[in-house]
Amino acid sequence: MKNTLRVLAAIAFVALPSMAQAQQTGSINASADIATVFAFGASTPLSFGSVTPGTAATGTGSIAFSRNVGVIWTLPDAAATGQITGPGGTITPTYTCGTGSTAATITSAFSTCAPATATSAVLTVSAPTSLVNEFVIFNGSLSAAQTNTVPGNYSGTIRITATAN
Amino acid sequence: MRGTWQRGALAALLFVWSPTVAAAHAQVATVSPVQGLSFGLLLPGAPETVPLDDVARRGVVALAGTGSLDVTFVLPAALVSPEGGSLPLSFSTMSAGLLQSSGGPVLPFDPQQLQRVQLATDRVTHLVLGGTAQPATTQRAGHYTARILVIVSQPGT
Repeated sequence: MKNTLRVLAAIAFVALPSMAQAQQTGSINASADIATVFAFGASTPLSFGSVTPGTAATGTGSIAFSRNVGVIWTLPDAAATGQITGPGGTITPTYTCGTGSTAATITSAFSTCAPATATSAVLTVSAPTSLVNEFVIFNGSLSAAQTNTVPGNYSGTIRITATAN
Repeated sequence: MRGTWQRGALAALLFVWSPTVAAAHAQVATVSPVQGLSFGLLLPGAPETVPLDDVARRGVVALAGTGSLDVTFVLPAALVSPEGGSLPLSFSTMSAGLLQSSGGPVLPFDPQQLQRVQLATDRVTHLVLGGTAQPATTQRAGHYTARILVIVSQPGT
Protein backbone atom coordinates (compact mmCIF):
# COMPACT_ATOMS: atom_id res chain seq x y z
CA MET A 1 0.00 0.00 0.00
CA LYS A 2 2.90 2.34 0.84
CA ASN A 3 4.38 1.79 -2.60
CA THR A 4 1.04 2.55 -4.19
CA LEU A 5 0.76 5.88 -2.34
CA ARG A 6 4.27 6.80 -3.44
CA VAL A 7 3.34 6.10 -7.03
CA LEU A 8 0.17 8.16 -6.72
CA ALA A 9 2.12 11.04 -5.17
CA ALA A 10 4.54 10.89 -8.07
CA ILE A 11 1.70 10.96 -10.55
CA ALA A 12 0.12 13.95 -8.83
CA PHE A 13 3.48 15.71 -8.79
CA VAL A 14 3.81 15.21 -12.53
CA ALA A 15 0.21 15.99 -13.33
CA LEU A 16 -0.22 19.21 -11.35
CA PRO A 17 2.39 21.23 -13.27
CA SER A 18 0.75 20.10 -16.48
CA MET A 19 -2.56 21.51 -15.31
CA ALA A 20 -0.93 24.77 -14.21
CA GLN A 21 0.41 25.30 -17.72
CA ALA A 22 -3.19 25.59 -18.97
CA GLN A 23 -3.20 29.30 -18.11
CA GLN A 24 -1.43 31.79 -20.34
CA THR A 25 -1.06 35.52 -20.26
CA GLY A 26 -0.52 37.90 -23.15
CA SER A 27 -0.47 41.65 -23.25
CA ILE A 28 -0.90 44.61 -25.54
CA ASN A 29 -0.06 48.26 -25.04
CA ALA A 30 -2.55 51.07 -24.81
CA SER A 31 -1.39 54.56 -25.68
CA ALA A 32 -2.47 58.14 -26.29
CA ASP A 33 -0.73 61.40 -27.01
CA ILE A 34 -2.01 64.61 -25.55
CA ALA A 35 -1.49 67.43 -28.02
CA THR A 36 0.47 70.51 -27.17
CA VAL A 37 -1.71 73.52 -26.42
CA PHE A 38 0.09 76.77 -27.14
CA ALA A 39 -2.11 79.60 -28.28
CA PHE A 40 -2.85 83.27 -27.81
CA GLY A 41 -6.45 84.24 -27.17
CA ALA A 42 -8.37 87.49 -27.04
CA SER A 43 -6.57 90.73 -26.31
CA THR A 44 -7.58 93.86 -24.46
CA PRO A 45 -5.96 97.00 -25.92
CA LEU A 46 -3.88 99.21 -23.70
CA SER A 47 -5.44 102.67 -23.83
CA PHE A 48 -4.27 105.79 -22.04
CA GLY A 49 -7.56 107.37 -23.00
CA SER A 50 -8.01 111.03 -23.74
CA VAL A 51 -5.17 112.73 -21.96
CA THR A 52 -5.01 116.35 -20.90
CA PRO A 53 -1.65 117.74 -21.91
CA GLY A 54 0.65 118.12 -18.98
CA THR A 55 -1.04 115.46 -16.85
CA ALA A 56 0.04 111.88 -16.15
CA ALA A 57 -1.90 108.95 -17.57
CA THR A 58 -1.97 105.20 -17.18
CA GLY A 59 -3.40 102.24 -19.04
CA THR A 60 -3.49 98.44 -18.90
CA GLY A 61 -3.60 95.95 -21.73
CA SER A 62 -3.44 92.17 -21.86
CA ILE A 63 -3.65 89.14 -24.09
CA ALA A 64 -4.81 85.69 -23.06
CA PHE A 65 -2.57 82.68 -23.54
CA SER A 66 -3.15 78.95 -23.04
CA ARG A 67 -0.43 76.34 -22.82
CA ASN A 68 0.36 72.93 -21.42
CA VAL A 69 4.07 73.14 -22.14
CA GLY A 70 6.82 75.49 -21.02
CA VAL A 71 7.30 78.87 -22.66
CA ILE A 72 10.03 81.41 -23.39
CA TRP A 73 8.77 84.96 -23.67
CA THR A 74 10.60 87.48 -25.85
CA LEU A 75 9.78 90.98 -27.09
CA PRO A 76 10.77 91.21 -30.76
CA ASP A 77 10.73 95.00 -30.83
CA ALA A 78 13.35 95.00 -28.09
CA ALA A 79 14.00 98.50 -26.72
CA ALA A 80 11.26 99.95 -28.93
CA THR A 81 8.56 97.78 -27.35
CA GLY A 82 5.39 99.74 -26.63
CA GLN A 83 6.47 103.02 -28.15
CA ILE A 84 3.62 105.14 -29.46
CA THR A 85 3.92 107.53 -32.38
CA GLY A 86 1.80 110.53 -33.30
CA PRO A 87 1.93 114.12 -34.58
CA GLY A 88 4.49 115.13 -31.98
CA GLY A 89 6.83 112.23 -32.66
CA THR A 90 7.50 109.06 -30.69
CA ILE A 91 6.74 108.67 -27.01
CA THR A 92 8.16 105.85 -24.91
CA PRO A 93 5.82 105.13 -21.98
CA THR A 94 7.09 103.45 -18.85
CA TYR A 95 5.85 99.89 -18.50
CA THR A 96 5.62 97.07 -16.02
CA CYS A 97 4.94 93.75 -17.69
CA GLY A 98 4.62 90.04 -17.08
CA THR A 99 2.08 87.26 -16.80
CA GLY A 100 -0.75 86.59 -14.41
CA SER A 101 -3.60 84.20 -13.89
CA THR A 102 -5.99 87.10 -14.37
CA ALA A 103 -5.74 90.12 -16.64
CA ALA A 104 -5.57 92.41 -13.62
CA THR A 105 -2.43 91.38 -11.74
CA ILE A 106 1.09 90.47 -12.77
CA THR A 107 2.33 87.48 -10.80
CA SER A 108 5.46 86.64 -12.85
CA ALA A 109 7.19 89.78 -14.02
CA PHE A 110 9.26 90.01 -17.17
CA SER A 111 12.88 90.86 -16.45
CA THR A 112 12.47 93.96 -18.61
CA CYS A 113 9.78 95.46 -20.83
CA ALA A 114 12.35 96.91 -23.21
CA PRO A 115 15.10 94.31 -23.69
CA ALA A 116 18.36 95.08 -25.38
CA THR A 117 17.76 92.57 -28.17
CA ALA A 118 14.78 90.93 -29.83
CA THR A 119 15.98 87.49 -28.82
CA SER A 120 16.55 88.19 -25.17
CA ALA A 121 14.27 86.02 -23.04
CA VAL A 122 12.36 88.20 -20.61
CA LEU A 123 10.77 85.22 -18.85
CA THR A 124 11.31 81.48 -19.13
CA VAL A 125 8.78 79.10 -17.62
CA SER A 126 9.04 75.32 -17.44
CA ALA A 127 6.22 72.92 -18.34
CA PRO A 128 3.22 73.10 -16.03
CA THR A 129 1.60 70.03 -14.53
CA SER A 130 -1.59 70.82 -16.40
CA LEU A 131 -3.11 73.23 -18.89
CA VAL A 132 -2.51 76.85 -17.91
CA ASN A 133 -4.72 79.76 -18.95
CA GLU A 134 -2.87 82.98 -18.29
CA PHE A 135 -2.52 86.55 -19.46
CA VAL A 136 0.40 88.63 -20.62
CA ILE A 137 -0.11 92.05 -19.07
CA PHE A 138 1.39 95.43 -19.84
CA ASN A 139 0.74 98.32 -17.46
CA GLY A 140 1.81 101.61 -19.04
CA SER A 141 2.23 105.09 -17.65
CA LEU A 142 2.87 108.46 -19.21
CA SER A 143 4.42 111.27 -17.22
CA ALA A 144 3.07 114.79 -17.29
CA ALA A 145 6.11 115.86 -19.25
CA GLN A 146 5.47 113.21 -21.91
CA THR A 147 1.87 114.26 -22.45
CA ASN A 148 2.83 117.90 -22.79
CA THR A 149 3.15 117.54 -26.52
CA VAL A 150 1.43 118.13 -29.84
CA PRO A 151 -2.24 117.00 -29.73
CA GLY A 152 -3.41 114.07 -31.80
CA ASN A 153 -3.63 110.33 -31.84
CA TYR A 154 -0.59 108.40 -30.71
CA SER A 155 -0.53 104.66 -31.25
CA GLY A 156 1.72 101.66 -31.47
CA THR A 157 1.77 97.89 -31.16
CA ILE A 158 3.17 95.78 -28.38
CA ARG A 159 4.45 92.56 -29.89
CA ILE A 160 5.10 89.51 -27.78
CA THR A 161 6.62 86.23 -28.89
CA ALA A 162 6.00 82.92 -27.16
CA THR A 163 8.31 80.01 -27.91
CA ALA A 164 7.53 76.57 -26.58
CA ASN A 165 10.06 75.50 -24.02
CA MET B 1 -5.46 -10.59 -3.42
CA ARG B 2 -4.45 -7.37 -1.63
CA GLY B 3 -1.84 -6.64 -4.33
CA THR B 4 -4.44 -7.15 -7.03
CA TRP B 5 -6.76 -4.61 -5.39
CA GLN B 6 -3.93 -2.09 -5.19
CA ARG B 7 -3.00 -2.54 -8.82
CA GLY B 8 -6.66 -2.12 -9.76
CA ALA B 9 -6.97 1.09 -7.78
CA LEU B 10 -3.80 2.46 -9.33
CA ALA B 11 -5.00 1.59 -12.82
CA ALA B 12 -8.32 3.30 -12.12
CA LEU B 13 -6.60 6.44 -10.89
CA LEU B 14 -4.33 6.51 -13.93
CA PHE B 15 -7.42 6.17 -16.08
CA VAL B 16 -8.95 9.16 -14.34
CA TRP B 17 -5.81 11.28 -14.48
CA SER B 18 -4.62 10.48 -17.97
CA PRO B 19 -7.48 12.02 -19.97
CA THR B 20 -7.34 15.17 -17.82
CA VAL B 21 -3.67 15.65 -18.41
CA ALA B 22 -4.04 14.87 -22.08
CA ALA B 23 -6.86 17.35 -22.36
CA ALA B 24 -4.81 20.00 -20.63
CA HIS B 25 -2.08 19.62 -23.22
CA ALA B 26 -4.49 19.52 -26.15
CA GLN B 27 -6.39 22.64 -25.16
CA VAL B 28 -3.45 24.93 -24.52
CA ALA B 29 -3.86 27.99 -26.68
CA THR B 30 -1.32 30.43 -27.97
CA VAL B 31 -1.91 34.07 -27.07
CA SER B 32 -0.28 36.47 -29.50
CA PRO B 33 -0.46 40.26 -29.32
CA VAL B 34 -1.28 41.69 -32.73
CA GLN B 35 -1.95 45.37 -32.23
CA GLY B 36 -2.02 47.80 -29.32
CA LEU B 37 -5.00 49.98 -28.40
CA SER B 38 -4.09 53.41 -29.71
CA PHE B 39 -6.16 56.50 -28.99
CA GLY B 40 -3.90 58.70 -31.10
CA LEU B 41 -3.50 62.45 -30.69
CA LEU B 42 -5.98 63.92 -28.21
CA LEU B 43 -6.80 67.42 -27.05
CA PRO B 44 -7.21 68.25 -23.36
CA GLY B 45 -10.86 68.04 -22.37
CA ALA B 46 -11.91 66.09 -25.45
CA PRO B 47 -12.81 62.43 -24.68
CA GLU B 48 -12.05 59.95 -27.44
CA THR B 49 -13.60 56.52 -27.95
CA VAL B 50 -12.05 53.76 -30.02
CA PRO B 51 -14.95 51.62 -31.27
CA LEU B 52 -14.60 47.92 -31.98
CA ASP B 53 -14.83 48.46 -35.74
CA ASP B 54 -11.89 50.87 -35.79
CA VAL B 55 -9.39 48.49 -37.35
CA ALA B 56 -6.51 50.95 -37.15
CA ARG B 57 -6.77 51.82 -33.48
CA ARG B 58 -8.45 48.94 -31.62
CA GLY B 59 -6.35 46.49 -29.66
CA VAL B 60 -6.08 42.99 -31.08
CA VAL B 61 -4.91 39.69 -29.56
CA ALA B 62 -4.89 36.43 -31.50
CA LEU B 63 -5.86 33.14 -29.90
CA ALA B 64 -5.03 29.83 -31.55
CA GLY B 65 -5.73 26.33 -30.34
CA THR B 66 -8.69 24.12 -29.65
CA GLY B 67 -11.34 23.69 -27.04
CA SER B 68 -13.00 26.04 -24.59
CA LEU B 69 -11.04 28.79 -22.91
CA ASP B 70 -11.90 31.46 -20.37
CA VAL B 71 -10.59 34.90 -21.27
CA THR B 72 -10.08 37.65 -18.73
CA PHE B 73 -8.83 41.16 -19.43
CA VAL B 74 -6.88 43.04 -16.79
CA LEU B 75 -7.73 46.61 -17.68
CA PRO B 76 -5.84 49.68 -16.50
CA ALA B 77 -7.82 52.52 -14.96
CA ALA B 78 -5.61 55.08 -16.64
CA LEU B 79 -2.74 55.66 -19.01
CA VAL B 80 0.31 57.22 -17.41
CA SER B 81 3.07 59.48 -18.68
CA PRO B 82 6.77 59.35 -17.80
CA GLU B 83 6.25 62.60 -15.88
CA GLY B 84 3.65 60.91 -13.68
CA GLY B 85 0.55 62.27 -15.38
CA SER B 86 -2.58 60.15 -15.49
CA LEU B 87 -5.14 59.92 -18.30
CA PRO B 88 -8.31 58.08 -17.19
CA LEU B 89 -9.70 55.22 -19.27
CA SER B 90 -13.14 53.66 -19.26
CA PHE B 91 -14.53 50.51 -20.83
CA SER B 92 -18.17 49.78 -21.52
CA THR B 93 -19.95 46.44 -21.55
CA MET B 94 -19.45 46.43 -25.33
CA SER B 95 -15.79 47.44 -25.42
CA ALA B 96 -14.44 43.98 -26.21
CA GLY B 97 -15.30 41.64 -29.04
CA LEU B 98 -14.60 38.30 -30.66
CA LEU B 99 -13.67 38.12 -34.29
CA GLN B 100 -13.12 34.88 -36.19
CA SER B 101 -10.63 34.65 -39.02
CA SER B 102 -13.23 32.58 -40.85
CA GLY B 103 -15.37 35.70 -41.16
CA GLY B 104 -18.49 37.15 -39.60
CA PRO B 105 -19.18 40.21 -37.48
CA VAL B 106 -17.48 41.22 -34.25
CA LEU B 107 -19.37 39.71 -31.32
CA PRO B 108 -19.12 42.22 -28.49
CA PHE B 109 -18.74 41.34 -24.84
CA ASP B 110 -17.93 43.02 -21.54
CA PRO B 111 -14.15 43.12 -21.07
CA GLN B 112 -14.64 43.37 -17.33
CA GLN B 113 -16.33 39.97 -17.21
CA LEU B 114 -14.86 36.54 -17.82
CA GLN B 115 -15.64 35.42 -21.36
CA ARG B 116 -15.73 31.80 -22.52
CA VAL B 117 -14.31 31.29 -26.00
CA GLN B 118 -14.52 28.21 -28.19
CA LEU B 119 -11.40 27.73 -30.30
CA ALA B 120 -11.06 25.57 -33.38
CA THR B 121 -8.08 24.42 -35.38
CA ASP B 122 -9.47 25.70 -38.67
CA ARG B 123 -9.45 29.35 -37.66
CA VAL B 124 -7.79 31.96 -35.47
CA THR B 125 -9.92 33.80 -32.96
CA HIS B 126 -9.14 37.45 -32.39
CA LEU B 127 -9.98 39.35 -29.25
CA VAL B 128 -10.50 43.02 -30.06
CA LEU B 129 -10.67 45.82 -27.53
CA GLY B 130 -11.85 49.41 -27.70
CA GLY B 131 -12.37 51.94 -24.94
CA THR B 132 -12.60 55.58 -24.06
CA ALA B 133 -9.82 57.94 -23.02
CA GLN B 134 -10.96 60.91 -20.97
CA PRO B 135 -8.32 63.65 -20.87
CA ALA B 136 -9.05 66.42 -18.42
CA THR B 137 -9.27 70.01 -19.60
CA THR B 138 -6.03 70.53 -17.68
CA GLN B 139 -4.31 67.46 -19.16
CA ARG B 140 -0.60 67.92 -19.64
CA ALA B 141 0.90 67.34 -23.08
CA GLY B 142 2.84 64.14 -23.61
CA HIS B 143 2.83 60.44 -24.36
CA TYR B 144 0.68 58.23 -22.12
CA THR B 145 0.83 54.43 -22.01
CA ALA B 146 -0.41 51.40 -20.09
CA ARG B 147 -0.34 47.62 -20.45
CA ILE B 148 -3.45 45.52 -20.92
CA LEU B 149 -3.18 41.90 -19.82
CA VAL B 150 -5.13 39.06 -21.37
CA ILE B 151 -5.31 35.95 -19.21
CA VAL B 152 -6.42 32.76 -20.92
CA SER B 153 -7.22 29.67 -18.89
CA GLN B 154 -9.05 26.44 -19.23
CA PRO B 155 -12.52 26.46 -17.72
CA GLY B 156 -12.29 25.29 -14.12
CA THR B 157 -8.58 25.95 -13.69
